[in-house]
Amino acid sequence: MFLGKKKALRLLAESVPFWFHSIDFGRGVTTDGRKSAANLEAELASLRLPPLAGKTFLDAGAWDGYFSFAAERRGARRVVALDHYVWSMDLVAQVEYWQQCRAQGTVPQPYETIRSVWRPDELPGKRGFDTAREALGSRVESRVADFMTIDLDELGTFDVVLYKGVLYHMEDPLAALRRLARVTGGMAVIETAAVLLPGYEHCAVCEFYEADELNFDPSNWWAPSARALHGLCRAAGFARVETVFENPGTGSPGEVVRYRTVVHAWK
Amino acid sequence: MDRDAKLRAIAELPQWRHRIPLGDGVVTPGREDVEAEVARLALPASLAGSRVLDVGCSDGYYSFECERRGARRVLAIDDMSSMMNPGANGFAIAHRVLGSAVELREMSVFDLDPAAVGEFDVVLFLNVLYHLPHPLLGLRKIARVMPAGATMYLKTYFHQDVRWWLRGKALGFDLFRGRQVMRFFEAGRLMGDPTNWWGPNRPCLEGMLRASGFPASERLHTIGDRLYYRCRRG
Repeated sequence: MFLGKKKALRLLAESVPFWFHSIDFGRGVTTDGRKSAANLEAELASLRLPPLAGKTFLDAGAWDGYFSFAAERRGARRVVALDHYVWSMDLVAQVEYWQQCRAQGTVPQPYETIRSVWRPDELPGKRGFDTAREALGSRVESRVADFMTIDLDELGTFDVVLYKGVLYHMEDPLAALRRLARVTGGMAVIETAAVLLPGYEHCAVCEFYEADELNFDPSNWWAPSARALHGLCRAAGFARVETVFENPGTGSPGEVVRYRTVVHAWK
Repeated sequence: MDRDAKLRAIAELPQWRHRIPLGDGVVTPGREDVEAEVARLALPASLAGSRVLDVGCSDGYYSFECERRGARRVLAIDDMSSMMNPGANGFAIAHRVLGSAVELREMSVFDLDPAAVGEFDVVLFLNVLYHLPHPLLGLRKIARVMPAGATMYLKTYFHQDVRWWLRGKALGFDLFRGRQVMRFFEAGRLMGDPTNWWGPNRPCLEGMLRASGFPASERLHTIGDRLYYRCRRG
């Protein structure tokens, strides 16, 4: 019986051709994600999530759902995992296409324009989330929607909104943060790529990525400095902003140091 | 309309931005040297047959000038957020005095839609970009109403990492050489104007133009803290 369950979980984990998150299914079975379990655990800690018992939680940009399931485990009353971009992609084909471009030294075209990759009617990228939800017996709800176009009145507001790894993919960051503020009842937890301009820490600036300059990923557009991120959040309708995590290295004036940061933004 | 009636008409507006010749030697008392601007932009002497869109038309000088140069259709849009006369500008007055056929619509650049407004061979996008909360979206909206080969004339504020002003002339340079960065101005931090949002540096502006459908942009001038471009829709 025990071995049967373990085998069933292992088969579930292996039935998904691409995992981004390493998710612990129990019984010693963990999905083979691009992000290691240890890495995700550290990322989860860096978010400094508030107590979630009895709260409603939106994970905008959920991918395989590691953080949605974590919120559920911490007692959130209702968890909604929203995504559409990575869910619409055949991630194996996407990696192949990307490696091909790297080998040829060309800039990848937007993935929405690559027919072998972009399959929103089939949602091949959502198999990880659906499988993990089944394996965990989770009640997390999923919404297939573009956060930039979904009807926000219909989506409603949430006590806590997680916006992790999304902001720098947005063509218009202020527009995205304004929408984020509209669905946030209490606080938003925003994790993003950021830039440090040594000697220019007092400036609110965003670095622009016309092609694939950031991580060779053509879907990256803007990374804010700490000042810009705070200012953008305030301009978007958040009353108070606090940086809870940052790991900038050091650099000389004239360099742009890229790093990751987490801010809490309260309505 | 006689000279006195024209003078009475221009007195209806507290402040004019553009100097618009209304005939009989009457010119609206604007502060902007619009003729010099038109010369800097090298606007074609004849716009015969062209369809022109003037984004952020303000008092309308550039629209009326394009009409005078033979444009087949001129659409002027403005969201009336001008700091000079909130909720009003001199367009309607000048339009009436000139007997102009330029169309005016109170609308935002973000609402431009080819199905609603049509397409344009020439777009004037002067001193507007840095007032947009979403500049890349604004450029894309404009690109959508332009057929391939159409021309956008762009003038905008731009950011430099270091800039000094000496007797009205700017001396500036970029510390972050080649980096595409855009400065964010929260609530009134650029020239005290809360409608100013973003200042791209030159590489960033050029990158945004390429990313929004303008593969070839020719820089015409750099004057003070402003850049002038002629951009071809790809």
